[in-house]
Amino acid sequence: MKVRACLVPALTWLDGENACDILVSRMANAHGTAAGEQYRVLLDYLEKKGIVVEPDWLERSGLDHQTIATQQRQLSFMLDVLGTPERAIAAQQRITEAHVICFGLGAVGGWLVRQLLGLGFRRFVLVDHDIVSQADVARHAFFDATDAAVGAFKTVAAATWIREQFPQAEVVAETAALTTQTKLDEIIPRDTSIVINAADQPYIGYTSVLLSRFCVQRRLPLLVAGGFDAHLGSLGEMIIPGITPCADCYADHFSEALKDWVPVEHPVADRREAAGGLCSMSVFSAGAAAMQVLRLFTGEGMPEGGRGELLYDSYKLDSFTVTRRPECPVCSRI
Amino acid sequence: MINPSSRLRLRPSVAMVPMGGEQWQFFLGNTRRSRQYRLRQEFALALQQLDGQLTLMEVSNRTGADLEHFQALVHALHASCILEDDSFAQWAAQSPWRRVLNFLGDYIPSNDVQDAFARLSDTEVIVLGVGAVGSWAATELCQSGVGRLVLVDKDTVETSNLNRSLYTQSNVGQYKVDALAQRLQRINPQLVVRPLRQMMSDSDDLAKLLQDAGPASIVINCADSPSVDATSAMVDAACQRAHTAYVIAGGYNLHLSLIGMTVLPGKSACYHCGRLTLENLQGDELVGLRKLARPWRNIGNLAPLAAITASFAANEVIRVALSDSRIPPAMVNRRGEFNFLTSEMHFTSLPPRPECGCIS
Repeated sequence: MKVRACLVPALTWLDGENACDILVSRMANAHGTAAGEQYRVLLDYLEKKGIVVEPDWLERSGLDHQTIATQQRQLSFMLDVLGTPERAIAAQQRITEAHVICFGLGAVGGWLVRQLLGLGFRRFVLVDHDIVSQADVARHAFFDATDAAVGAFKTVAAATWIREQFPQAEVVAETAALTTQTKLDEIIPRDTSIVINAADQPYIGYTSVLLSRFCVQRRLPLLVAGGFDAHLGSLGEMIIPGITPCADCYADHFSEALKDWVPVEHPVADRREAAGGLCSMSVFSAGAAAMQVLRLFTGEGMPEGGRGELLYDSYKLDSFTVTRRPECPVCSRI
Repeated sequence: MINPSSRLRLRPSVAMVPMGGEQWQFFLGNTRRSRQYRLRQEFALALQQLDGQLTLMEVSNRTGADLEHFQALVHALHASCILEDDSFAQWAAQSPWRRVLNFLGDYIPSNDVQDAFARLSDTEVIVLGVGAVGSWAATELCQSGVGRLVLVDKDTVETSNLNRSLYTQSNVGQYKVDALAQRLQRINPQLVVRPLRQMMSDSDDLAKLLQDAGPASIVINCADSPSVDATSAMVDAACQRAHTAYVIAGGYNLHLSLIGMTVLPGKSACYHCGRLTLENLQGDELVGLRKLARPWRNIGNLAPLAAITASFAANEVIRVALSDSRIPPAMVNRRGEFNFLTSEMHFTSLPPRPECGCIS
């Protein structure tokens, strides 16, 4: 924009201490009434654009004391990205009230929940059937050597830690496996805001299809996290029923793309103990997934079909698009 | 050494795929690397028998694959991380670090993984600044098997730190280095961790610390006060003198997460080389631009930004510590940006600058 030269240094007057009327008259005294009025118009414009903001916007936000105390830097971020205090505050409120269910508390699931706690999410259902093993301590968010020594259930150990460290959190620990027998309508609460799939046993495609068929029916967003044993650098996808492809669309896409690519039976029958992983890779995948969740709650950016892959060699990020299947038996009718 | 009595197996993360004719693909799922071989039928069959139980001799007898040729083939596939020695597999499966060991096995042939992991455990990492990025990076390093950490920070935990760091409500008021050291010790009781409640603002102080630290040490700069530029210049001065590698953790700028440079003194571009190039790149845009003085500036930040920046910094420290040409540091002579809103990565090349004089 183009403004009179005398208005530019006056931007440094905006320190939150003096009311605009006082600043406008200071301008009028220095450069005349017309300059004062132009300064007022400029400030109005800058406020509408979200470039200047009232200093007590947080105190007047209606957010609870704890949220303001812990989330001031995040609210600054959201103000920058969303442009107005109203939108930033509304997004934080949606986060506080959201009900999140996470299937799978492996490295990625655990670090994702840890980051969601940082973002201010408070209400969780955590689903996993496994116990903490010694090798888990080398890459998990919530477990320490003691949990491994006593063989605690992952859900219970994580829920205990969260309740101790985040007194505002409400956590339900569901120690259960995710199979075709799982009664999803009993485990997934009615008021769920988002379902997260970080369960990769027997493999991520299998558990995603199970959850996606349920979520499409209920019109629930489903985040399929990335970073699993099949490829540590994969980034996940957000599934929004009726908007993005569903897990069946993804499964069909890949089975078609890979139809001529059929490995022989692997000579090593039990490959479970041989999975590799690095804590930093899990944290990266969890971070990218957490940003997808944040995008959903801020309404910033439309989720599209596709998947990304980080190549560890060079940190190159490959991505490819997946579209909805017009003939998909699960999601094509909505 | 691979000999007729060796027991090897196809690595569990590798798929063996017939491509028609005598063509075979070996696809490494994690690295997305693949190798194609033309294999006569008996050799393809022999490889499919490599489950770690049978010796090469036994497999050769069963399938009719000529032993000498089979041994040479196995040698090549082991060097490409397609096969692994069964004694490695058994050892890794029993180790609490098996995830890390199997990860290393994607890049380093199985016979060399134990030595590589020992280099990682022996490395002392000096973490300057354990705020948001530093708390994540130190935790990731501890969980990756780095055996010795020095944590340097003078601050105490405040409530407003909790949204993005790994500290929690019960840590408020504690020194950051103390709270973090306690947590890391619970994760790995064998970790040697030294918390230093001080601000490292003088390159002489850091140089002294490096002198005591021994040769296998790496500095990771996660300190942003007064600015990342100021702390990086200080780190560079000390590390150039001590020939210690350092990683600049980066930071964040709106929706961008910066991935900083990895500097190997005398061998790669240093912080100042990078600064010179960045100044040139920005030159035209910034002519006549004046920054408003805003002392009350409170820049936005949140957990995933800090975590992702830290994860690249931790990757780089691990890669430097391994000192193995098969998995070299990836941020030498460049820096990167990860865009959270689009999940895109962008890199800027920052080559060594002759006028800097850091490489003689």
